[in-house]
Amino acid sequence: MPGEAKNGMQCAEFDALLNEALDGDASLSGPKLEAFQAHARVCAVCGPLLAEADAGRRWLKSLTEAEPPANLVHSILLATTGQESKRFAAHARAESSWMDKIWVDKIAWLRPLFAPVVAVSRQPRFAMSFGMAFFSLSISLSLG
Amino acid sequence: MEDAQVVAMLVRRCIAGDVVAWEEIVQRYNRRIYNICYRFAGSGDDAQDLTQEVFVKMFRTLSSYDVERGAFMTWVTTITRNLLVDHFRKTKQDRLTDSLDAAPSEHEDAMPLSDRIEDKAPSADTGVQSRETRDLVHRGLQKLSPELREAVILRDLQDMDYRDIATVLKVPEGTVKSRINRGRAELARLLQRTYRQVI
Repeated sequence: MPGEAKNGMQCAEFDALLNEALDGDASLSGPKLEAFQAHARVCAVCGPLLAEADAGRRWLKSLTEAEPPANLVHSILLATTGQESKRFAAHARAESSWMDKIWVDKIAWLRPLFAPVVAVSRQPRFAMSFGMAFFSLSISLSLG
Repeated sequence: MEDAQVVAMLVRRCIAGDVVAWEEIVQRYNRRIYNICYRFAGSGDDAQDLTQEVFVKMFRTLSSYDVERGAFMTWVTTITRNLLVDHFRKTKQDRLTDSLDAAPSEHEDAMPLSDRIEDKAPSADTGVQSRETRDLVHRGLQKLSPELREAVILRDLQDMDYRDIATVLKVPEGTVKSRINRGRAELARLLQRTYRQVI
């Protein structure tokens, strides 16, 4: 029965020592440990509690660390600073398109001249306008 | 330089507006926070959203962190825990109340978990590491009350000491220990009851 003294130890005292016992705490040793173990053997409440708590701890320890999504850091930085991750940006640069690579590496000397035009043409609304103009022109030429 | 000093310096640089320092903090703590959120909330999507919310809150309140009052990790974990409690309260009505058997994960085949577990005859002693078993324990964890769940997550999954857990949960150390033991025992009973010879 809970609260009863068994083998010189009260259930409340046993309960207080449960964590130390499961942690393998060195402070629980000698006569104290023997009394704890003896109480676990004879108490119908504390014995099963020790076994269950130990089993639960082992089950929890069997869980491995979950892998966060690859874009988590990137999303956090965008949500907080509005900027991309430096590492993410470096990775993105490494995987940039052939057009970007030519623009950056091969014809860099032309950049000051054409940069404003390229910047404007890359905006979605202008890109769409250019596309529509090209499409109209090609239709007109093919009909002509 | 000790880790605490490194973190204190990172925090000071962040407060001064150094974005690179902030990214370093995010890189250091995102995995830990994600895991606390994942084990508490149960789903990867929720964990991702909650982790992002934690960092947004951290970013806004970083200047309130006082190095003298405790470890940065404890401060971060407290923010995470408070946000998880808020999330739990908000979603209380929406939560499913299905049994463990009714929520198989995408990684499981058609055979009921209980059968598979019984066939493999795992025990807590042998510590079977199969994915199915981990799914089972993860789902069992979701069935614990939030008070017990947060206590065992911080102790058994995050390896925090009792004093730090007491600070995070704002309860005495004795209460922390009691919740951890009750949480462990309840999880074991739950798994045992649901799957007969699991333990």
